Amino acid sequence: MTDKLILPSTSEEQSNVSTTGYEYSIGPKQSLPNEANSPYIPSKLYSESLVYKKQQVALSSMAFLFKEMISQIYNNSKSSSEFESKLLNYGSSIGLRLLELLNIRASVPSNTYSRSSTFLSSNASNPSSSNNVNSISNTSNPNSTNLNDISNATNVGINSSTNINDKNYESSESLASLVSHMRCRDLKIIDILQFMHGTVWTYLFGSPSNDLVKSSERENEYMIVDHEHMLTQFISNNNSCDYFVCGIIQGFLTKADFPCTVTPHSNNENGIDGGVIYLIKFDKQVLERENLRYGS
Amino acid sequence: MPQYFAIIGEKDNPVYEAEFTAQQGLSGQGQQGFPQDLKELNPFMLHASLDIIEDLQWQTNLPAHSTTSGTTGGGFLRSRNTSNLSNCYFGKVDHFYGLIITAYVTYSGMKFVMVHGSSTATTAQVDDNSVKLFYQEVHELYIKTLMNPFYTPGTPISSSAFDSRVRTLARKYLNK
Amino acid sequence: MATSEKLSASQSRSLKITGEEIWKNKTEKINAELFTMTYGAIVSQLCTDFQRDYNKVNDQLFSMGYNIGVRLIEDFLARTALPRCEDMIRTSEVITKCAFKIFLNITPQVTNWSPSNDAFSLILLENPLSEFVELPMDATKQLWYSNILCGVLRGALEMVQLDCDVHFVSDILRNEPQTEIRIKLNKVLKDEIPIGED
Repeated sequence: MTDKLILPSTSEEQSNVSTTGYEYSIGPKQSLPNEANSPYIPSKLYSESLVYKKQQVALSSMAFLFKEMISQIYNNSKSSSEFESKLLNYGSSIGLRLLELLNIRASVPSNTYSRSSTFLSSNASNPSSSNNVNSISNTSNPNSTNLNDISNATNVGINSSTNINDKNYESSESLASLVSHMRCRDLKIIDILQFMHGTVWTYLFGSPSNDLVKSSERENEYMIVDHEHMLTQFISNNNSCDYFVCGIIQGFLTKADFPCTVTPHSNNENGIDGGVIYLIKFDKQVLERENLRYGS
Repeated sequence: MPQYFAIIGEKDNPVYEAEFTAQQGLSGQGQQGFPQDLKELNPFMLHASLDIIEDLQWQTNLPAHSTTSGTTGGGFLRSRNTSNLSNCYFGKVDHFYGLIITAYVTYSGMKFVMVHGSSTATTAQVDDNSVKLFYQEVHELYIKTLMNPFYTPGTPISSSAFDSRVRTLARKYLNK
Repeated sequence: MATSEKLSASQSRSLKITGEEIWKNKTEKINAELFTMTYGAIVSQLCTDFQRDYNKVNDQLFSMGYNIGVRLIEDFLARTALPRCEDMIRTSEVITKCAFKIFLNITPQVTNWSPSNDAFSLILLENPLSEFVELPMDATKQLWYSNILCGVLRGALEMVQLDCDVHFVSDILRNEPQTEIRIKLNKVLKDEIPIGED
């Protein structure tokens, strides 16, 4: 196999340097001597900042993409249940990413967040700044706080203003360096559902969901009510396509160790489109844990 | 002071592992790793601590107890100075013949665990603040990894860019 | 820049204003990251479905884009009410300053005109489709991650009687210096709306 030949032009120098990553079958690699001097491995992914840039695209672009995804899945499915479970998986892969992403973003004190949002909101509060990306507006931007539903008041004012500027300069690389306390992991059903209803919904659709309801009949059932159903509003009445958002909810909750199944139901009354109700049924073990740990 | 660090997935599978050693002198000759016998034990010690972590994971009073009462409240192993509102960083969760094990749990339940060795015969020391910062920054790198649509959650992270960044963080926070 | 020389400055500016005005006031918007992640889920699933045959993935993305393009053009014309473009120079300006602006809120640069002014390149300085993406090693030489864009352009242009070849030349995801899409006019189609196309 020619592939296995050593490439003379490239292999010589690199063999001494740790250019390979973690290898499962080999186990942990030890630090190499002079590791600190080894070349920095460039990476687009790892040099992108996780700071929320609040970028937007047209809803119609999303709708076109969504419809094309739907027909793609539809053509590859033999039954409606296969279609629904495939669509659910797409959503679920997004939900589990949002779980980590939105929580770490919610850990950043709100006053540091305004830096990035002034850049985009073309807000004139910072006209003298030559470099908007790394500058900070000391007046907290009201639009920027919606991600932080927990109070980070304890963090405010612990840094002198010069310190804040230094820290923000670094932040183009690292979000974690802005965080003094990571947001608490949600341990109770009600806490994580409120995060879903508030923070996650606002992130996805621009405002909190219309309602978060606990079933009066069954202890493990909760409902998120969404009048807008932004993604499926242009698609005719069948609820099948709402399995995408079900997947987002289910992926998010399940990865946070609140395993559940989520199904969509239409909220139509007297022929008026009342949007979608997402019914969340938690697995038994979730309630058992909750009773055991925090039970009354 | 050497460390063995691992990211452990849902099914107790290793997603990433690394060993860090302090460098002494420019030539790097004075490296102090784990003695060979301990090195082989590291993964076992780490796995033995997973049950403890899984229990701590669901405690609501994690930070409060460790700041105020120290040895009472069932949290005797945990560090006393993790005075914060967070429940991601657990501090010390276990120890084994002078080695200390610290842990951190992400929002999706990935476990970051580290065995801290000691440079001399004395018991290992852990600076909670820098260990916490190390974990937080690795957490962020983990999230970036996760954001890549081609990464399947729970599978080993083989990216050399990830590896080199974690090692840079280790030098910054753990082996200054 | 070459672009402003090709088209009079005032025409160019007026298209820019049109695009910005529609984006700002007449466009319902959604979080770009949801869009990014949805597209990411689609591409990675296709790579699995086609067992990492990236040429097939490219084709599939292109055809999805084509389906979008032939519909999207109506939406675009209805919203902009722009008259027919008299040449490719104006077409290139409308694509970048209006279409990309209105749908993706980005404005690619137009460059590399062919001597006969029938082919040009779009340089994407930002690309909302490819944020937080790192291609697998085996894909870097074959996969055009954002190939759906080529399909969209091809489909939309065809609906306005411009039969064009649209393809990626380079992509920063492949560690190339820039992301470049090439658009080349083959011929202007007869001015008839195909019957039965929906």
